[in-house]
This record gives sequence, structure tokens and C-alpha cells, in this order.
Amino acid sequence: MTSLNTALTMQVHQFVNTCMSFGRVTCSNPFLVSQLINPSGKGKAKQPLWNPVPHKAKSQVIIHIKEEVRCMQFNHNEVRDAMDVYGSVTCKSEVEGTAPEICITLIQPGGNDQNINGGGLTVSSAVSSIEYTATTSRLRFRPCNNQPLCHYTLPHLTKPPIYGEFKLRLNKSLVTVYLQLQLQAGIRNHFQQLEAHIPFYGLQVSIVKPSSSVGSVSVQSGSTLVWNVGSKFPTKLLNATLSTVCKLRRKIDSSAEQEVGGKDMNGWEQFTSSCALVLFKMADYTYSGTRVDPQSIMVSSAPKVRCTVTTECVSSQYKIWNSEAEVPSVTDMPVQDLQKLLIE
Amino acid sequence: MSCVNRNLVALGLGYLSESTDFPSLLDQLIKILLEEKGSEKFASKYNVAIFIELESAALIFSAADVELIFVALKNVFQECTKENSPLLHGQCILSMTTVLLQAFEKVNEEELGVLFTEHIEFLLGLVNQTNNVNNIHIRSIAARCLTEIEICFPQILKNCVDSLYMAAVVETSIAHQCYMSLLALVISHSIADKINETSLWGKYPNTQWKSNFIQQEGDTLITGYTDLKEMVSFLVDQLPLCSTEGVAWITMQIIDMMLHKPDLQASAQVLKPLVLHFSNTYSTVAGHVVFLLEKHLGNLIFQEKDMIQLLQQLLLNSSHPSLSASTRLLYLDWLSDYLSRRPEKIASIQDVNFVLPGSFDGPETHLKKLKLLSSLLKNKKESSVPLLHALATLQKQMKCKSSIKLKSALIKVLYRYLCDHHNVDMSAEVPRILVAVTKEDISFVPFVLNFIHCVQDILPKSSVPSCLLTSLVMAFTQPDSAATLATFHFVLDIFLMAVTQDLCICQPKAILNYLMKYIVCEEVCGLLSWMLGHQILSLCFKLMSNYDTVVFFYELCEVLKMFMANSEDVDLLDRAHIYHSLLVSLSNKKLKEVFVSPKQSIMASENTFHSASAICKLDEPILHLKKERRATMQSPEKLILETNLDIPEADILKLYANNISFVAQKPLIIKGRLSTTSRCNVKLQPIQALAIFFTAPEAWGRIEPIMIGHYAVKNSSEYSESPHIVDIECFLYKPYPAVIQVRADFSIHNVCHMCTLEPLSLDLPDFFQPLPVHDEFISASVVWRRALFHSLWNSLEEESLTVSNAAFTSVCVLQQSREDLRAKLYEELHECIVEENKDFFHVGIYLFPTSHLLMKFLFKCGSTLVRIVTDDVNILAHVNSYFKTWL
Repeated sequence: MTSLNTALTMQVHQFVNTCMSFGRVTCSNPFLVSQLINPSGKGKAKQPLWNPVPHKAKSQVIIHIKEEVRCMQFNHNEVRDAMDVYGSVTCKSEVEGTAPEICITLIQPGGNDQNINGGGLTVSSAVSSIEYTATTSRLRFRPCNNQPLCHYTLPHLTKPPIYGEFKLRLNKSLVTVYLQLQLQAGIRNHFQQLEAHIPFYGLQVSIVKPSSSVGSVSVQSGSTLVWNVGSKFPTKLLNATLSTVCKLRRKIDSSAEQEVGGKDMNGWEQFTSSCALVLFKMADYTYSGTRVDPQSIMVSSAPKVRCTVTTECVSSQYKIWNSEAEVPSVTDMPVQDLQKLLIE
Repeated sequence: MSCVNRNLVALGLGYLSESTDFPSLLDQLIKILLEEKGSEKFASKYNVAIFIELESAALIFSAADVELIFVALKNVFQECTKENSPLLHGQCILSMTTVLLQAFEKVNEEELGVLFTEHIEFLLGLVNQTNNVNNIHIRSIAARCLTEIEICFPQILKNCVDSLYMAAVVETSIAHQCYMSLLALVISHSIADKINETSLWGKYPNTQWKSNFIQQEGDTLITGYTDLKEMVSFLVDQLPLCSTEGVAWITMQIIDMMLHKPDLQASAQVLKPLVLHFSNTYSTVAGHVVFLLEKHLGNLIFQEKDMIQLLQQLLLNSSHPSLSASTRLLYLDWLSDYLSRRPEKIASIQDVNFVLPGSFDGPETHLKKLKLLSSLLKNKKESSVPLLHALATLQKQMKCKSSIKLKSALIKVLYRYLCDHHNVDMSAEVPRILVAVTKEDISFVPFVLNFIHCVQDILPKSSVPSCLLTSLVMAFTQPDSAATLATFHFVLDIFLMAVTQDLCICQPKAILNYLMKYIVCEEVCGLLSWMLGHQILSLCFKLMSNYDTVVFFYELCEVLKMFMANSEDVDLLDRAHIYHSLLVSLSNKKLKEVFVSPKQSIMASENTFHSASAICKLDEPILHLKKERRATMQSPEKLILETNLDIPEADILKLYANNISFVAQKPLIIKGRLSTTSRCNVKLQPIQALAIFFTAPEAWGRIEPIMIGHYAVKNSSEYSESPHIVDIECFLYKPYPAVIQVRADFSIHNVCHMCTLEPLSLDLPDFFQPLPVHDEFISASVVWRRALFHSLWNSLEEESLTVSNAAFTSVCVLQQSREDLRAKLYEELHECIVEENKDFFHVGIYLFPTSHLLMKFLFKCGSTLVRIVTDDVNILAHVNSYFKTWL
């Protein structure tokens, strides 16, 4: 409250008092506030609350698919890597009609049907019906601009797009870091962002001897080693390597930082159980191949609609653990035993 | 006021924060609302209306305040016609309703009756303007205000059901959702047998509104099932036009209706499309509606495939990586509830991975998933192994990162495992895991000890707590124990808990040997902190008081001796020394008696404070404090034959002046009689720690409090005959009559009581003292007083003739008979009579601290002439009053 200025405070009060007066939520879409205060009321048919003012201009639908890949790679014989590919589809629509309905077809080449129809697909409450085929899901919905139309997850994708190997050794206050990243064949080699972060929380890092096959190495915020690989992997090998030696110091509040040396290194061993965080972002691409065919988009109240579909693929919690230390995961869960017990 | 000021500043009304109190702030707010129209005033008025809504509880003190706010806001409502008026109009109605509802908490409801009736009529009038395109927002807000009023005063709109139904049917603008929400609530309340009590319950306003909105007499109020069914169908049909939140609210009201009126459940199938619509959603609001429908009306709406579909959706949403953790946790709760109600559906879980914790799951998800897994496998054979196996990721995460949340999750999961699967395998494995984790991370000890307490409470016959404690004591008394001096307090916590169990668990010899070797040895003992040292000595104390010391006498002696030899702290040395002396000099039995008996021993329950008892204030006093009458018997000293003083008059006065300076420093003691009233039976209610406090006028002086440790019954037969004679020690500045307030604080059965006693009235005679006798003439007091009287008399009489105002003389005539007066003098002023014969009496009175009243009574035919000399003129007025009491 302290940082909000008067105008913002007023907007917040407008939203709260219009959409959730007396603490009861009647509409959670903040973009509709001004329309709810000055709604249209001339029609003979009942006007839905989710569309207080019918759109008058040309209809258009913008669909955006954001796919995320999260991964935990251990490079450990006994521990299996974990990976999830999931995403969300948002649809911004400005379409005519009192109660318009939009129809899109979500195409997932690998299929989304794991166990039951819809498998990993969970939709917004604005979606009124879903029709499934082996690789497509046809969604019929009313405009819902403030929330994702659906979320999907694809558990059958288990190969990570980028393989990594991370080794970190601590020798007193010197740390040797080795990180190798390998792009899987068939993945588009063009990134908007491709970085690896190695954090040393609470410590001060300085690079003694940087060596990387591509890109540049720097220190961010004093305690994170950042390797900026660039926009693509070397075309032939599709891999990149970082091998560097860094010096660690304890962070001291005062400007005069003292080198600690080997005396006060209690708790530093925790950094051997650390991981490298890979951050990547690819535009107009999804790892799973999920897409929406613009031709399939239909709006009940308008024969012609301008449609735009964009996609992106980003990393989220893409971690490569130090293969020479303890890892926070286990071999295999007792899936079979438990499944048997449940069915009994 | 700080919160109010913050809100003022946030709303751009910071310039009002200088108002010192709420009434003046309210005046200023009203002034802004009543200012002339103008677009620049819109924002101020809107902000003031918001502020009034936010702070209505602080601003209202009386019904007049409410009326003032109402008039001002209504004025704004009627006058504002500018561009943004729907916003301001809506806010005015919201603020008025909030103020009115808040007022019921603070103001007598009878004073608000008229205003309340008018306001409801006003709101109903707005709602009645269906399809008015100019005030859609205002009508929506009005319907929401009525909803709030109906929530606070259930069934208050009962008579409007039909009219509200018509309005909801007719309305085509977006206001229909608010109309439907209100209608659903009013119907639900109307058919309910019992309504949940609200905060305003019992403050039901007596309202008799006559709005056009209400149907005339004869109209039916959902009397028939058909009407009700029709209304419910209408509500369900219109749901697609509502927002998801609106759908949820209306559906919940419909569920309530069906629960209140079972015959309505026959039409529960109308909700089926809603279930189908929401069955694939990730929305928590929609998901909750489906969950509630299944919970309350499941068998009526859900077919087998719907049940499976719901289960799959709950499973999917509870582990969907794309959803937020909070959403997933919510779905996990619902999943857990669903499966506990429908255990037969457990077998339908086709992929157990949904309920297994994964690498990306945090501690809360781990906890919920493992708890769910435990409940799913309850009563299933050989479930312990896979369950414990499923813990592995959590344990691994703990190895990599020491976090309180992870530790808490692990201990809660193991507790649940043990409660759900209390078999041999689990009873053996849980302690093993806990000991292993504790050995690796000693900061896990508090969690384990908490676990032991909980298991002892819930499973009193379980062997797990004793087994676990024994293993922990063994683990931490080994030479390779992971404890350091910094973490040794955790180990001591284990030992201290073990001491409260039995000898097998405690293993005192092992503990003491460990302490001897590693803790109180020469190298370490000096480094122990004061707190740690005392904890070790507390452990020794508990060992001595709980067990037969013969078993570990040598070891304990050694520990204490080493403590004495190696510790540098005086406190610790003293305590160790005392324990050692007691241990070597007392038998085991005596040692127990010494240690165990005193309840208030500082060691008995360390680190705990006694909770403060409430003070009981008595309305009626249970004690009396009265002045004790002076003794009337003649003093034997008068009988002693005394010789004349052979001192010059000037010397007498000089000696006396020195003497009086000492006497004046002592307190004036007035005897008091303290007794209990009939309201108190001291035998049944022994009064202890009695303190009597006196509050005297500041200019008069002060009286010392009286303290009585134990107000005992002296006469066992009658409590009323057992008064205490107490000394009331007065340190007064002037001997004038005064009324002293008296208060008593005391304890009865360890409860502190307080009561006000009757005021103590002190009059002039209470200060009368015989003339002080100089120490040298104590054996000739009569002669001394007589000589002093004459000297003082002469001196004061001389002074009275001067202009120094240091002495005053007066004469009065008393009309009593000689015998009566003589008797009175003996009775009242006996101690002060310095000389007497058949014709006169000389009375010398010393008035604490430095005043005197000297009187010569001369009997003359039928009347008595009294000549008075004093050094305080105010005394003369009081003397006159005093003589009147003799009549």
C-alpha cells in the first residue's frame, strides 16, 4: 500500500468495489471493470456478464502457445533424470456478437491421449466443450482474455532438448567448474536466449581462469557465474563446453572484503551439491510440436476473422546437478508395488 | 489512528490526517461530500466515500453519526450527474450500506430502525427499475447491497422472493447476475429451517417497509414446490450468462436449497450440464463447485463415469506442472477428501505416479501426497515397504538442503504413517529412519522430540517413543557422535527427555560417562555457556530426583566434581557444589525429599512462567476497618509520686523544642480494628497476602499501607469476633480532619482479589496526644507536662499579642453541668489532663506534627469557661465542632 500512488489506489478500489464488493467475487477479470461500470444495455437478448459491451470493430483472434521445459539431469547411474514438457494456450479475442463462441483445434503430433481422453489437458471454465482425436483437441469456448484457455502436459516426452554434464569440485576456496551442453539432434538450433547460471548463494565469486568453447563468462550480482552461450550451438558438434576456475569468498557487508582462505569454510561443502541452471528461449517453436492451425479457428458470430498464432518455448527449472556430489533424487519410486496395492 | 492515516494518504486525503480525533475527521469528510458540484470534486468525493466505507467502524459513535453520513452520501447520490457518476453512485450506495451494517455493531438497533427501513426501500426501489439502461451498474450494486443485508439479517427479504424472481426474469442487462445471486440467496434462506448465526444475530431490526416492490397481500411466497422448481430451473438455465464466480455462488445456493428441501433433489439432474461443463476445468472456483456437487448431491447427479472423470480431473490438476503450487495443493486436498469418502474409487487410480512425490515437488506437496498415499494404503497388507520407499526423495532433498519445511514434512509424514499403519514393520522402521536422519542433521532433534510427544499422546501403548529415545541416547553417547559444542544443546534436549522416561531408556551411566569424557572435561568445560552449564546441571538434578542414585553414584559424583574443578562460572560452581554436597551427604531417600517437595523450586520446572491470574474485583467489601476507641482507664503512671522540676521556664521550652523535632519525624499511630463482614467466611476462604492501601488528600499527608501475611481466625467459633488490631501509621502535614479512601488487595485460594473498603474518617480528637515528655524526665512525666503546659501557655499567650500570627487565643463557654463535663473530660481527654482540681482543669494537647492546643477549663456556677491557646488558627474552628459533639 505504501508504494501505490493515489491513482493506482483508486483503480484498485474501483476493481474491488465493482467486482468483489463486500468480499464476494462476482467477476475476477480486471480488464472488464470499465465495461462493467458502463455496460451495454440496449439489446433485447440477455447480455452475458463476461461480455458486458459487444465488440463493434473487425473481429480478431490472437493465440499464443507458451511451452515450458523443466528438467533435472543428474548424470548418475542410479538416479533417473526427470523432465516435464508442458504449456499453456492463451487466446485474446475481440469478436462480434452478444454471446460469441470461438472454436480452435489444438494439434499435438505426439498425441495427448495417455490414459483417458484429454490426458494432460485441463481447460478454462470458459471452455464449453472439447472433442478429441488421436492428435487433436477441438475446443469451443467463450472469450476469456484474462486466463489461459488451457494447460497441457506431455509426460511421454522424456528426452531433454539439451543434455548437460556438470562437475564442480571445491578445493579450499578455489572451485573448478566443468559444464558441457549438448543440443539434441532435430531441435532447432536458434535461441533468443541461451545461458547457464551457476549460483553460489551467500558467497562472492571471482573468475580466475575462464575457458569456454563458445560464448562469454561473467559474474552476475557478485555470486552467480553466468555463461552466455550465444544464439546457437556450433553447427557441427551441437555442443559447448565451459571449464573454469573461480575463487570464492565469504560475502562481507562492509566494503572491505576479507579473503577467508581455508579457515572459515564451514558449510561450503553444500555448494558441491549445487546445480547449473540452463535458461533458454526459442521463438516460434514448441519442443513438442504443439500448434494451432489458424485455418481451424472459427467464430460463431463472424464469418471472417483475422487470426494470429504465435508460439515460444522456454526453459523453467532446467537444472543439471553436479554429478560428483549428492543429488536430491532417488533411483525409482515403488510405482509397481503401489499400483498393485491400490488395485487390490 | 495510524491505519486510518495510511488510508487517508493512500486515497489522496492526506491533508485530513492532521485531524486529532475521529469526530473532527468525520466533520471534515462530511464537508467535502457537501461541497459544490464540480468535476475536480468528483475524485475527492469518490475517495471520501471509499474512505467512509473502509473506516466506518472507526468513524461511527452514535446514531447521529450514521444519519449525518447518510444524509451527506444521499445528497451526493442525488446531485451527481457527471460523466463518472455510475462509479460515484455505486460507491455511495456501498458506503451507506456498509455504514449501516457497521452501525448495528456499535449503536442500539432501535435507533437505526427507521433509517434501515428507508435504506432497504431505497435499494429495492433501485432494483425495481429493471432494464433501465442508465443505471445498470447502480442497480447491480444495489442488488449486491441487498445480498449483504440478507446475509446479515437472514430472511429479511423473504417477502420479496416473487418480486425478485420477476426482476431477474425481466432484466436483460448484465445486472441480471446480481439479481440472480440475490434471488438465489433469498430463496435459500426462505426455505431453510435453520439459518447460520451471523455477527449481527439478535440485533434484528424491526422493519415495516411498504415498497411497491413487495407484492400486495394475497401474493404467494414460493409456497408451492412447482414455484420453487421453476425458480431453480430458471437459475440453472441462466448460468451460462454468468461469470464463473457468479455460477459458483448461485450453484452453492442451489445446493443449499436442495439440502434444506429434500423433495427438490428430484430435480437435481438440472445441474448435470454444469458438471459436464466444469468437469475438465483447472479453475479452482469451478472445480470447487463440481467437488461440492459430488460431495452433497453426488449420487443424484453423478453416474459412475462422471465419478471416474472427476477423479481423473482431480488427479491431473493436483499434479499438473503448468498449474501453480497453490492450485495443485488445493486439488490435492479435494482429492484426499474425495477418496476418503469413496474408498472404492481408489482402485480406479490408473497411474499411481499422480500421487507419488516427484523431483520437482516442494515440501508441502511431498507432505500432502505422502499423507494421501498413506491413507490410500490404510488396512492394506505389506504396504509399509513401498510407503517408506516413497519417502526417499524427501530424505534425499533433506540431505542436499537443510530446511525447516522439509524436516517438518518428513516428521509429519512419518507420524501419519505410524498412525495409519501401526504394525511391526513400521514401528521398527520409523525410529530407524528418524535416528539416521538425526545423526546426519542434529538440528532435526526438536522435530523428533515433538514427534515422541505426539506419538505418546495418540498411541500411549506404542513402543516407538521408548525405542526411539533409547536409540537416540545410544547414538549420541557414542564417541563418534556428530554433536559439537554449538549443537550440544540438541543432545541435551534428548537426554533431558530421556530422564523423564524410565531407567532403561535413560541409561544414566552412558550419559554421565559421555559427559565426563567429552563435555565437562578440562578442555571443554570452561567453554560451556552459562545456559548450557545449567542445562547439564538440570540433567544431574533430574537424575538425582528421578532415580536411585546408587546406580550411577560414582559417575554423577565425577561429573559434579569435574564441573567444580573445571568451570569458571560462579553460578555453575555454586549449583554443582550444592548438588555434590547433597549427593555425598544425604541418603537416597532424603535426597528425593529435598529435591521433590518444594513446588516453587527454581529447578522444578525451568523455563516456564506461571500464568498470570485474573484479578477478581469485589463489588461489596468483605473487610471493615474502624478506628479503635482510646482506652479510658486511668494510667498507672499518675499514681507515681513525683518531685518538682527544678528547671527555668526558658530551658524547658528549649529542651522541648529539641525534643519535638525528633517526635515529629515519627508517624502518628492510630489504632484500627480490622474485621470481616458477613459476606466472608475466613475459615472457608482464608485471606492471605492482605494489603490495605490508603489514599489521603495530598495536602493532608499520607498513611503507610498495612500488610498482613495471613489473616487468621483468632476466635474459631465466630469469625465476626476475631478482629485484628492494626496500627495505622500516619505521616501528616497538618492535624486536620480528613476522609481517607481505603482499598484492600488480598488473595483467596491463590486468586487475587480487590475491594474498596468504607472510607476511614479521621477527626480532630484522633490526633490528640499528651504533651511529649523529654527522655530525661520520663520518670517525672506529670510534673514535666505541668511545667511544660505553663511554659507553653505563657509563651503562646505572649505570642498571640504580637503581630506574628504564630499563636492565637480564644474563649468559649460550655453549658454542661460540672459533673457531666468532668466525666466527659476524663472520658475524652484523660491522657492530656495536666492539672486539675475541683474548680479547674488544665488540658495540654500535642497535635502531630508541630501544633498544640492548650485549654483551661474553669468551672463557674452552672457553666464552664474555656480559655484556649493554640499555634494553629485552623484548629480553633475544629475545636468548636469538637465541643458540639459533647452536647
